[in-house]
Amino acid sequence: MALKSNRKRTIRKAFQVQEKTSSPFVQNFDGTELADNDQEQIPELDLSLESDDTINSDTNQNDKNTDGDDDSSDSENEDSKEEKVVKKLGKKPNKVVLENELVKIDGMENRKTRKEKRSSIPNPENSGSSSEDENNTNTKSFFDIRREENFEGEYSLDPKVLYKLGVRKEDLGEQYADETDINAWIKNREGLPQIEADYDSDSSTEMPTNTIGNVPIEWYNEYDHIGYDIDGKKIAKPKADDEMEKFLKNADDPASLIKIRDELNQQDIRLTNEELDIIRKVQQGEFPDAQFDPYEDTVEWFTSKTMETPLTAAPEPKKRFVPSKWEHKMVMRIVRSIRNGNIYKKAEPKSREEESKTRFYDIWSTEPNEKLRNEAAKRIPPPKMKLPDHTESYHPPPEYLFTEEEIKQWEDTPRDDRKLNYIPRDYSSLREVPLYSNLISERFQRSLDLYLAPRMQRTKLNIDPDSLIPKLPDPKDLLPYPTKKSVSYDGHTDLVRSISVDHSGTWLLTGSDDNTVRLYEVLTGYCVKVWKFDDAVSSVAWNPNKEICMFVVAVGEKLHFIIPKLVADPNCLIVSELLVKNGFENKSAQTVVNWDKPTTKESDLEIYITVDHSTPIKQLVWHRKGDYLGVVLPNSNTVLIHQLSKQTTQKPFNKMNGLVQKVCFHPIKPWFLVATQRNIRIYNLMQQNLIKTLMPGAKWISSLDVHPQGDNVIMGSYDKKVCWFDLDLSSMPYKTIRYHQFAVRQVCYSKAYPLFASCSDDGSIMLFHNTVYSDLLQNPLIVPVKILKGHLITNSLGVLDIVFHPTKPWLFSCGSDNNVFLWS
Amino acid sequence: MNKEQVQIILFSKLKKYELPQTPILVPTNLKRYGLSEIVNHLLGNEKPIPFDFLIEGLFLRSSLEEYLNSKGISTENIINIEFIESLKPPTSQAQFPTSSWISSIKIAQDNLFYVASYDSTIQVWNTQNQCETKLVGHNGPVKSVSCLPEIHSQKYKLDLVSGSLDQTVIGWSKNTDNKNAIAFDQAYIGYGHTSSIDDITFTLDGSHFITASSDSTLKLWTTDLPDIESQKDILENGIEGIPSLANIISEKISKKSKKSKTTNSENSEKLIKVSKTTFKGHTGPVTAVVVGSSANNIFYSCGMDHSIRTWDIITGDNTFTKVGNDVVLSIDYSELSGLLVTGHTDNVVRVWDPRIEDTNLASMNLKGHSGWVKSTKWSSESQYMFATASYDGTSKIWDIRSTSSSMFSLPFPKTKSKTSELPDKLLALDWKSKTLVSGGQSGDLYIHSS
Repeated sequence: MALKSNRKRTIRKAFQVQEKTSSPFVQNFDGTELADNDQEQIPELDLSLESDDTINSDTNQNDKNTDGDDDSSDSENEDSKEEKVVKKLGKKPNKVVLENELVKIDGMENRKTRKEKRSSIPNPENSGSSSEDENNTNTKSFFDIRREENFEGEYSLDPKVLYKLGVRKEDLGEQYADETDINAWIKNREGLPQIEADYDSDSSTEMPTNTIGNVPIEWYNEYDHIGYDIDGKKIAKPKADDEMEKFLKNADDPASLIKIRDELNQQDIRLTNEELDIIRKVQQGEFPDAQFDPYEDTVEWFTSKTMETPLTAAPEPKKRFVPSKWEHKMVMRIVRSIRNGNIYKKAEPKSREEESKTRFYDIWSTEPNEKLRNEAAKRIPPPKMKLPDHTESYHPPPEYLFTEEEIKQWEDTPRDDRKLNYIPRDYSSLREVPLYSNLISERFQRSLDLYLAPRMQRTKLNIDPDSLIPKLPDPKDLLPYPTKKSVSYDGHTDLVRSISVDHSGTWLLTGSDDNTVRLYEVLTGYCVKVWKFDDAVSSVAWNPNKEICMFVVAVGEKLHFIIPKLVADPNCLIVSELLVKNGFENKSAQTVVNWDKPTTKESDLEIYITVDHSTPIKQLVWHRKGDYLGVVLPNSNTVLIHQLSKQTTQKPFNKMNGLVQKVCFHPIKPWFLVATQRNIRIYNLMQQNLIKTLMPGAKWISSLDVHPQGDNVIMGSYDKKVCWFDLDLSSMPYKTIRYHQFAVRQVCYSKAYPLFASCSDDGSIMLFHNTVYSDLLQNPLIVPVKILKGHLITNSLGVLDIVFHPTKPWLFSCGSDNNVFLWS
Repeated sequence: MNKEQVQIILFSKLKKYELPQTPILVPTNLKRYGLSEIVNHLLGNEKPIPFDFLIEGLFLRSSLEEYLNSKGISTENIINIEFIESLKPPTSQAQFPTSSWISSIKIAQDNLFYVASYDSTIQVWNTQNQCETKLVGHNGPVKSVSCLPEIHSQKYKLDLVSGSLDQTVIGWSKNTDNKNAIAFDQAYIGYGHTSSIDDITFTLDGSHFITASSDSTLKLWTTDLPDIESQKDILENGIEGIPSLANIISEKISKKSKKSKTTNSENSEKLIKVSKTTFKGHTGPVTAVVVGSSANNIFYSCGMDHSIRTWDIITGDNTFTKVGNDVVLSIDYSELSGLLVTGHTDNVVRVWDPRIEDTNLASMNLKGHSGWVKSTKWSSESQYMFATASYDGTSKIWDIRSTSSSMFSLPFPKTKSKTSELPDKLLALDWKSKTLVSGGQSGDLYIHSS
């Protein structure tokens, strides 16, 4: 602290110095930058301190040198010294010296000297003649006086200490020297003003002071007194000088210029030298009090310098610089417990305001208290009891009274099933109403209900139902697709199991349980030909090859290849016949099944080849090139692939995993899809390996079809599902559609239009529009567009087979109601 | 009472109904009947004649007020209304049951109806409910039949051609040996098509006929009998497009001989005919063909590929194609109006102007049928009227001046023998002068007179 104030002072001093010399340091001492530049100033500060010291030492030296000299020489010395200092610091000589002088004794006896000084200031009235000298040699005499005053006080302190504190040696020396020699001192005092013992003697010796206070003196113009003294006596008005007398007085009195008029006491007061000095200082903008030192030296009570030789020579203990083990352990323990969560920051305690907020319900608050409101909302009121009815009246209208039948019925029904748990009764007056017998039990039940039955509030989701519906294009924009029944193909007398359209879309084949296969003209619905067999026809399939006019029929266990000559293109007819003929010629040894030439009876039916499988055939499916034919034999759980041109049969799978339901050739790749009960397996026939297994999650697959572009597969199942698979994506369905109410029987794609359909035992056909994008990243868009209803459900079977027209947006369907329809 | 009145001028193009050309103020809520009464009153007819009224070429089918509102015409205008004698609805004349589905009907000039039937025969019916004769020769259902006008039949010694599902065309000539009964002989059999022949028509001069087939081609044949030399050539070289003619012929002959031993014994002498030109262009089965105006040697065809094509007979070029929205099942051309009318599988009847070649849009879409429109026929007398037969079991008579609905609908008694709820289809229709004959799935021949 002391250091700091010291520094400040020196800085200020330096500042003053710099200000006058306009050195480059000025900018550093800018007020705001002072604190920031603290460190840099320190050397500067030291410098100034040193300079200060040198000044002191200089003066001391000077003093020592002039020790024993008389006052005048001393003062001369001082003057020269001042000049030196002025030279050194570039200060005004007078001021700096003064300060230096005063500062030295400031700490101990500043006040005392000041008092003495005041008293020692020569009173103009008293001093009389000496005032002129004083005016001339003001400074000199002032110092002399002051020095003499120093002797007056009593110093109980050790002179050494006093010296240290800045009391000059000469002062002490004089004091001690002249202590005994009082006469010498008196001698010295000669010619000097009388020293008053009383401090305030200057006021007490003056004229009685006017006590009228702060009132205009003009009020006393009329009176002969100007006020009252402290004892209440009138102060007589002094004789007022006229202007001439005043002038003469002023002209006579050399001190008239330093006199001021005291209006209150009607006196002229001569200003003392000190007062003049103060006036001068005020005029010059300096501190009026000459003794005030704004740049005091600090007293360093405690030294900042380290001692060169320490008190003990013991080496510094190790623990001073080795981190504490126990502290480390303690820290680690805390760290561990923080990590474990044993120590955690507690929630800040609620402020009193909040606490009061939560604790007390502000009943007058205009703002809604959300929490309380929610709590109130959570409270579920008990269900209200039903309001009394007419039947509960003691005198109900007669229509509410039970008839005998109703009473009997009421009695017959079990207690819990009764609509009313009492029989309405009629009483002529309320008085006659007896106690309700069920009262206690009903109250008890009610109480039990309220107490035991959990009540919960159902949170209603406020969802716009429209937003849940996926945004699909309007079906009207997706035309054309089949919308209504256009043509019916009549003639079957039993359920029609299978239908097939030829590649040109002109001829429709139907296979039925009435053992017939019928060939219809698509456009007119005329049955061109009927084939009658011995067994139910389970499947029919046109050869998809445009060059071949042939279809296959599965009749019970037999497979017939038939060439319908009537409708056959003559070119195709020849090709087909040749194919069969060559097949028989090139036929290799057959092991799996036998390819037989038709019997004469069969020849009449235009059957060209018969293959007996000795187990019922379920499904026939052609490869797109019309050479390979896939056959599903469910009883032996096998799949056979026939080759027409070579009349050979392969059994691609020795053992099937699961019951084979349907098979399908891939339209582009040499793949073969086998739908078992749960899964769809895709095999590569060329490489003889399994490519993929699709897991639709259905319990029993009924049908499948492959998209004409080959990337997508649809599947129908007996548990009402239709699944769409993207073969490029996962083995799980991309979309599962559950629109049918009963088992799905068949699904199929349209080759010409982006449509697919599914048919079901609920007698309906669902039509979907599917957009398969060529962009692989975009998922196919499936839009249900139409439900075709027209088939009747007979024997809980509905639509059994559907197939799209190869070139038109038309759909053929056959059902258990013996009907075959074309939807366009 | 509606106080609104409008000035009208009633006029007629017929001399006998001439009226003074002065405007008459009539209330706007008048309908056809009211106007008809006014006209009868003005003409002073004792026995009122029903009239129909045309405003700017369209039939008035509502009150005058509604008409004015719909057209945005102020009642201050003077409206010219033409009146014509209203047509009486056709009356059912007879209903003859035939043995099978009727696929095609043609009315010959001597009030004979040639009926192509699905039982492989062509039946000749007269108006007296008598089947004059049955022409047996085809191996499959006869799909189409066309008769040559009498003036030409003398010249070409041919009366009838028929196309069948067995891919052959048979030309029939009237056997004049027996004067009491009408009999026909097979003049020749034409090979060339590889699929069912669905339509057949003569050119206007009778020198050629054109066949439309499911094999998506049309063929032009000459009417006259083939000479003997060509027969040898055909037997030796075969017919273009048919690989083993001899095989087929022999087979068919053998079959026929088996079948028709009782009826006809002169099969072996049957002449074989080949087509003159083949028109290729359709991408699907051709369903119908019709000859265009007499001035240009053009004909029109339509097919399952939604197209209506214009062909030049001489060059064999497909000069113009209009592609519509739906399968075209039938087409007819009116010499009087120069318009085409087509029947479609979207149950719409469309009227086209073949002279407008820069649009694929039909001039008129007439809706009213609830089934496919299988047959269309222009009236031979009126340039505005045509008849259609549809799978919904009705035939309708339309007037192109009335765009909103058909003029008359002729329902036919439904036979409820079948399980299907769909009505019996009408497949064939012909309308000549005042006789309208139609038939179809039920096998019954319906004759109406208008």
